[in-house]
Amino acid sequence: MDNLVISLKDIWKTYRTGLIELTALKGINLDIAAGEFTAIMGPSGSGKSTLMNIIGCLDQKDSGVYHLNGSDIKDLNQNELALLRNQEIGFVFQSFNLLPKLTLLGNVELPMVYAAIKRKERAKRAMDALDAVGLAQWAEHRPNEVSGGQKQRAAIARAMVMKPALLMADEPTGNLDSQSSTDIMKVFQELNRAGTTIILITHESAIAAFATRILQVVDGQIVSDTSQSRQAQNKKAAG
Amino acid sequence: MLWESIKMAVSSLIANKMRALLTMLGIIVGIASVIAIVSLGEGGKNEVMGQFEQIGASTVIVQVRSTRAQRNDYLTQNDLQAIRDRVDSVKYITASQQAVSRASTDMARRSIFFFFIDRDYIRFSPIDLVHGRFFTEIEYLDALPVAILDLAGARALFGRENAVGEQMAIEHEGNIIRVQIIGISDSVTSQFAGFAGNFSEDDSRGMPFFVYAPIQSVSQLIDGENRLSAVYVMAESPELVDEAGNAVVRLLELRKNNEHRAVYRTQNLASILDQINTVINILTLFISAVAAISLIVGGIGVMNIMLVSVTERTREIGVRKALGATTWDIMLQFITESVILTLIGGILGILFGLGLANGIAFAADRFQIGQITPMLSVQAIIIAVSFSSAVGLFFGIYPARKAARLDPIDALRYE
Repeated sequence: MDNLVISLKDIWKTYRTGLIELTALKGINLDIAAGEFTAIMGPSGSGKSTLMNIIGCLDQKDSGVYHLNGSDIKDLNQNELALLRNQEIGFVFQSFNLLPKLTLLGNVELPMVYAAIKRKERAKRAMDALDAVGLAQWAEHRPNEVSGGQKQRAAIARAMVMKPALLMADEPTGNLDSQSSTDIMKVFQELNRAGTTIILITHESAIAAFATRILQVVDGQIVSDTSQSRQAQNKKAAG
Repeated sequence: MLWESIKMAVSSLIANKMRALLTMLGIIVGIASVIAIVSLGEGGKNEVMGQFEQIGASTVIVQVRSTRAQRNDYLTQNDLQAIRDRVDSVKYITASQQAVSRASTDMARRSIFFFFIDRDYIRFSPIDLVHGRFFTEIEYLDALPVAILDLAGARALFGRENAVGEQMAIEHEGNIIRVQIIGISDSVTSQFAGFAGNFSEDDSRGMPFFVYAPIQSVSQLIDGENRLSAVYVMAESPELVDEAGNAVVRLLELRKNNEHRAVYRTQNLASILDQINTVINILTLFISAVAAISLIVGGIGVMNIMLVSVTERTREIGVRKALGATTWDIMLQFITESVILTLIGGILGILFGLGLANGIAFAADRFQIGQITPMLSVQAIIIAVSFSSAVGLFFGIYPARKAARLDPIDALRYE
């Protein structure tokens, strides 16, 4: 149990809009250990986004037990959830979600602003994070001045700068060409090898192939859970 | 966090300069109008105070109410003498009459402002002599044809400053008297500049010259004009000013037997200031009401634009929330933005208001309506700044709450 980053037990989630009830998650059970690189696959409407939102503390379950990095996530208000997201989770989005008015450095600093980290340290850590994804020389540029691949690298730097327990990537290659996609997935692989726990949401099996574990979600339930060795992972990714 | 919010707010406003400026307009107009009226009011008050300070706290003016008065109710030199003799609390009493006349010498012919003054006039309103002397007791009593002319008048009428000993003719509606100059006074310009433009058709410089003469000589120049409608009374001390005024009125009513008609009224510095303050306060209240409406309208404009801004930045709010911004962080960010918006509006309003006040003062001076130096107290500035910030705070709360309450998932999905 100690090395589990995520532990979900019988998680249910139902959305109500007017008279229509939609049960998005129907008793999800899932353990993710530290250092795993998990891809969650599934068609749209399968509930994978809901699952991601709950794991990412953007939304809360209706019932079930969720432990994130050892602490029980229940009955939290918006601010407590915000703190968890800030401290424990890094997000990478399909559409990058960099703030256009800030430089890449400013964007990477953002989570530390909300963690009330002092300006000097913020700048230093953000610079280090950008350097780690090979963007040090682009630090003072704005998002519209760099390529899609570079944007996503900056987003990864931003997600990693708080040293979160979990990195969540929602279709991170959805807006990238195939070369950039491969580059970005290699960045994720490197991070994973350095010990980062990653959850990747994707509907492309070629992208999921970079992960060490692949979950299939259909109709609110996990229907398959397969692990593959690093070698297989490398082979697939290369091929 | 506040500092970060301020930085974010400033950069967001800079990114939308024109929009920010237009949004501020209501605030600017509101604050500017209040600042203009307050600084003009304050300046005007000071100006009037300055003029009345010469009269002093011990002085009371006894006036005849022209609407109630009959011919006999007006005051004569005998009445003044009776007051001098019989009212103990009175230290000095004097009167003056004015006429716009023409003075001529061999050199020139000019409009003058003719002041007929009584004994002790200079105790109330000093006349600074640069040459010659004042009138003597005999000159007052016998209304001798002597006069004091101001410096500018001496230059214009005699071509030199020291015109003591010269003679000039003064004409008023067909009556002509010849007077001898016995003194030259410093020019009185500023206070009466307003009057000047209206009656000097023959002098392009606009300023009439001041000529003083003993009061009794007025009857030689102006037919039947020896009745006084006001006298200036100086009490022995400021505490006695009301007592002196009342004693003078009682004595006059006894002498004229007109007590039942309440012909006389008194005015002292305090009551004059009260009247001025009342007028200024009413004016300030009225303008403030207009400004308040403008500020409310401006505030609604701010709220409107902030709501637009929240909608435009829904996605940004979602990102910030995903990265760990709390409800309060988002709230602070948007409130800071609206407060900075109205704060800058307020500061611009103060500057425009001062400009407006100075413009009005300049125009008033230029068109010879009056002289005012706009004055703005630190207190007024602080009130204006805090009021405009308060508008931003109040009208910023609703959009900020809206932003802060956005669901991060919906906000992130917003296109």
